[in-house]
Amino acid sequence: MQWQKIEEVFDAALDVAPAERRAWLLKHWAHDAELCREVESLLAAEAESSNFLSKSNLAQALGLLLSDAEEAREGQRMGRYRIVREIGRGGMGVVYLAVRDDDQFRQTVAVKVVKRGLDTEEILRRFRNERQILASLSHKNIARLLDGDESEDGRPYFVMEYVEGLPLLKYCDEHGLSVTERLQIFRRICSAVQHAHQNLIIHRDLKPSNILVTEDGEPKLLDFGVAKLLNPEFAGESLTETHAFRVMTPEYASPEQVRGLHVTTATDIYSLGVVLYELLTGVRPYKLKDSSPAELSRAICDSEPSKPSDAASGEQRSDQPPSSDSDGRKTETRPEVRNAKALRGDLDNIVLKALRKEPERRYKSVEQFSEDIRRHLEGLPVSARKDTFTYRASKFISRHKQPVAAASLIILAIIASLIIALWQAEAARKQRDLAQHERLRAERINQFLQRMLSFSNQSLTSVSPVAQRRDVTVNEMLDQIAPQVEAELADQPEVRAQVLRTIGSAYASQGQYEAAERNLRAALEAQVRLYGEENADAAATMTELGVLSYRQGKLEEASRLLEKAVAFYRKQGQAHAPESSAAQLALALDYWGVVKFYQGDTNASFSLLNEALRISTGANLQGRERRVLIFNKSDLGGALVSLGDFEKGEPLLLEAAAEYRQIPGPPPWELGSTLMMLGVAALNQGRLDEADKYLLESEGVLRHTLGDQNGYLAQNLDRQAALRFRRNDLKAAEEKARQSLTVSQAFSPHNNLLWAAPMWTLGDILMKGGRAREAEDYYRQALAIFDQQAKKNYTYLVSVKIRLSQSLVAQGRLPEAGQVAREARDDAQPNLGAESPLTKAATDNLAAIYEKQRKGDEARSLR
Amino acid sequence: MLAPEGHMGEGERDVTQMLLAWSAGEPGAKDSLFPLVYDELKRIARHYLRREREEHTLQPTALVHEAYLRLVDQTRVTWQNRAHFYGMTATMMRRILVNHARAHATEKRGGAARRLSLEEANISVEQSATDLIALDEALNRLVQLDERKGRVVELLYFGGLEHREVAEVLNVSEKTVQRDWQIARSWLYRELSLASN
Repeated sequence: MQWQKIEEVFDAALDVAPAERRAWLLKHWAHDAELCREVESLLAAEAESSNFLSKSNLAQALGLLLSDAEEAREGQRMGRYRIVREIGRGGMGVVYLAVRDDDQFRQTVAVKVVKRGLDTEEILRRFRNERQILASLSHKNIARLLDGDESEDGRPYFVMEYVEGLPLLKYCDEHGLSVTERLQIFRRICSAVQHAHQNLIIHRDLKPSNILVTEDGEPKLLDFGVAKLLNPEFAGESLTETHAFRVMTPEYASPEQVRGLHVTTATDIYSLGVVLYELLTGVRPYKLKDSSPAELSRAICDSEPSKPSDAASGEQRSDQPPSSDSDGRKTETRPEVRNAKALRGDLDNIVLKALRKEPERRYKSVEQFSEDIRRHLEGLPVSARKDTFTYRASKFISRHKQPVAAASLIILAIIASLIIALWQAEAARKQRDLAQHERLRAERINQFLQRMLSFSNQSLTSVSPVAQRRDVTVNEMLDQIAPQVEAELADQPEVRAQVLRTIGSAYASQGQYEAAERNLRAALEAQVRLYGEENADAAATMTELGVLSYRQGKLEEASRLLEKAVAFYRKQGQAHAPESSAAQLALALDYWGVVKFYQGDTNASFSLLNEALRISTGANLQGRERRVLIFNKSDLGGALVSLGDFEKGEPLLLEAAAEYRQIPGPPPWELGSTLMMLGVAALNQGRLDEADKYLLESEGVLRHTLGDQNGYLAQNLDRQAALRFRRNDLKAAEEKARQSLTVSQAFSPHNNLLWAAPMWTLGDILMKGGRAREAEDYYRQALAIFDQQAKKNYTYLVSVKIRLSQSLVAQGRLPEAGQVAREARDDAQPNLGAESPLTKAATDNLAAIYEKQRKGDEARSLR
Repeated sequence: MLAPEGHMGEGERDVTQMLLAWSAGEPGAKDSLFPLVYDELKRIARHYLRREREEHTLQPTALVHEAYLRLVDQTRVTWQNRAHFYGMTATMMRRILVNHARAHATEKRGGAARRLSLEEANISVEQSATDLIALDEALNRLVQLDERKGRVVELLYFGGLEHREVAEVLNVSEKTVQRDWQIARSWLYRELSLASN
């Protein structure tokens, strides 16, 4: 284009008052539409860009860049102290060896100073925090605080006792300490931690390299840099530390730290457990395949450590490299410690008790922990026991939450539905004669019930076979029950309908969507035949089927069913019928709104989601029903955020997340989805670190509640890919996107709508990496999926077509690119409207391709 | 290689000579000059951080000035030499910062802002605008279109120079710098917001 001309006109336009610029342009340059368009868009940019490229951004970046700069030099003074040399540096501070040599003393000390350029408020606060914490501690196994002040250049520093010694593991190895000697040193470390706890201080970063042992064998605890001072007013209560994940050392972190949950003194007990484990066995309790947060979370939160005695005997060590990095020493030879026999029994139990996943099941205090070790050393019985059978059983249930908890819940639900049905049959019987065949019928139901009870009994007691078969069990159980229902309850239509519905829900909760659909449909048919369409049972089944269809990606069907259910509940509500249920209505509205959202009908979606929230807010829901209110908040918030209305959406999501967190017990899966949308909100506003944190926590909750194959997890991974894409980390982005695709394909072999998102993301990632050919493939696949939908979402279709055309351009296949670009434009114009930004983008895209093809006339005709 | 703080040693004479050689059009002189100035720049920055804590943020201008005063023998150079020097440090700043941004995977900033996929609509322009990498790429395109405007942005933003100084460096009027800056900034802003759609 004629850049000089544009520049000239742009400059001239700037001399005109802003409000009149457009008119001025059209008046003078109407004959050159292209020029007008170009100048207009530049003027628009000019109006918005006054803060763009301000100097403060750059200055900040520079400060960051230089924060690793060299520090104080030998001979420099800090108050009364003279720096000798640097002896260590951490995230925020540098530690120097220094001497005090004034008239009074000559003393060697360690001086810790905030790193240059890092003296931000946050870091200064943490630094002062550490100083305050050290000042309140006085224990022979904790490095003492001696002094503190500000340096000449204004940075705070503090002076500590200089500990001349070796890191814990190295000391024990070099001195060839026996198990008993190691335990004795460990108990002294415990007494230091206990002293901190008594002063309401949690260390939070206990690890062997933070413990130095002096030549005379005295351990000294160092580095309270991330320690937390509990507010005395809240003594005994736990606290949440959102930054915990970032500041901790992953290998020694507790499950609650990894999950970003409450951190208590039990956290230190856990880390002490890891230290003891390593001290006794030479290896860490977990095998990390890599250092990714997901792997970390898997290892620490989900996998059980092998017994120290097994680890020491090397049984578990074949695939584990020696842990040599914690304080730089190798763990090859440890003949004395490798004495597995010494560890078997008590010590295994003691260490594993400290390492339990649930804080409340660890030692109640460091003192108790230490006391147990003392008892072991003196040959007394210890309090730590092997996990009991009941513990293991409950453990099994929580670990394989989906299958087993579901199994028992399903059994309960089926039993409950049978009891209700029996009760109803009983009531009916009272009104009639107790005919012989009725009694037989009741008997048959009783038998059925009993069989099921014994079935459930069996599956709950024989833990190991169930454990090996995991979720198959529940499905197998359901597969056995379902035909029996048909056979035995054929002459009990009410009971049959009820049980079919329960079985359908059970299948749905197992992700067995086809079986779920079959049973729910049979239930619905039976209910409609028995009571007609307009009744509460049928409406509930319709809602359930609607949700199921939505999860299967059959949006049309979902919309139809949910609409019917909503119509019923609305009518009931208006009639103030006794069966009316605000929670049911709000739930059905919510799902219908979500379905509309995915169909691209955002107006209808928002009106439904708003109605849902209005109703659940007005209904004063209590107990379990209150979850619906939170659910509504989260979905409305999520939809708003998806369309870029962060101002309204984010507060709703935050409220929902807070309320989910208040629900007692483990976090519900819904929290995972809410956190994911918070992550998306942060991501779309460019707050990448925050987004990462949310997505990671969400991933943890989702995996924990819904297992490793679920649609939400697939979406989560897709967003994590997007985040990495934004950080320009294409390799990690691609990996996450592929994981997302794998999960969505495994989770829903038939619902390929779910596959489209990671395909699209993958396409973008590959394009950016210059792999246009591969990108093209993914765009085409995503496109095919969007194209299959009965109700087409043109926003998606047009966006992907534009991208596809660009991937073709990148391969030099201009004619094909032109064709796709034309399709995009032709889809956009009538369906999205001429004013839509996407329509404009499609037009510009087409014009650009025409220009590349040297079809100037066609290009101009578009402008 | 560099003189200790406060002294003028062997090093800086080389710099002056190289600068003169480069100004005179000697091929390769710039390449040997670059690492020297780069090191000095970082060194001065450290001193700044040490001395001027209260200022809290460090303006690149101060760095460039000081590097110049330290490295170059004022009695032997002309203002054209100075212009060259300033031009080079701005490029250097840009390179330092962009490399840094790349290395840190743009953690602080909005990342390469681009509309990614489902449900991802409004990425605010300001976010993408602060993205150094995207900016760097856009700036390369601007240079292709209009080299001087690219240089103006580089000197003003990455070099931290004032308009008056840029005018001196590029040997144009301050008014021209102002105009160049305005259209270049608008152009870049539009470029970055388009990229995010």
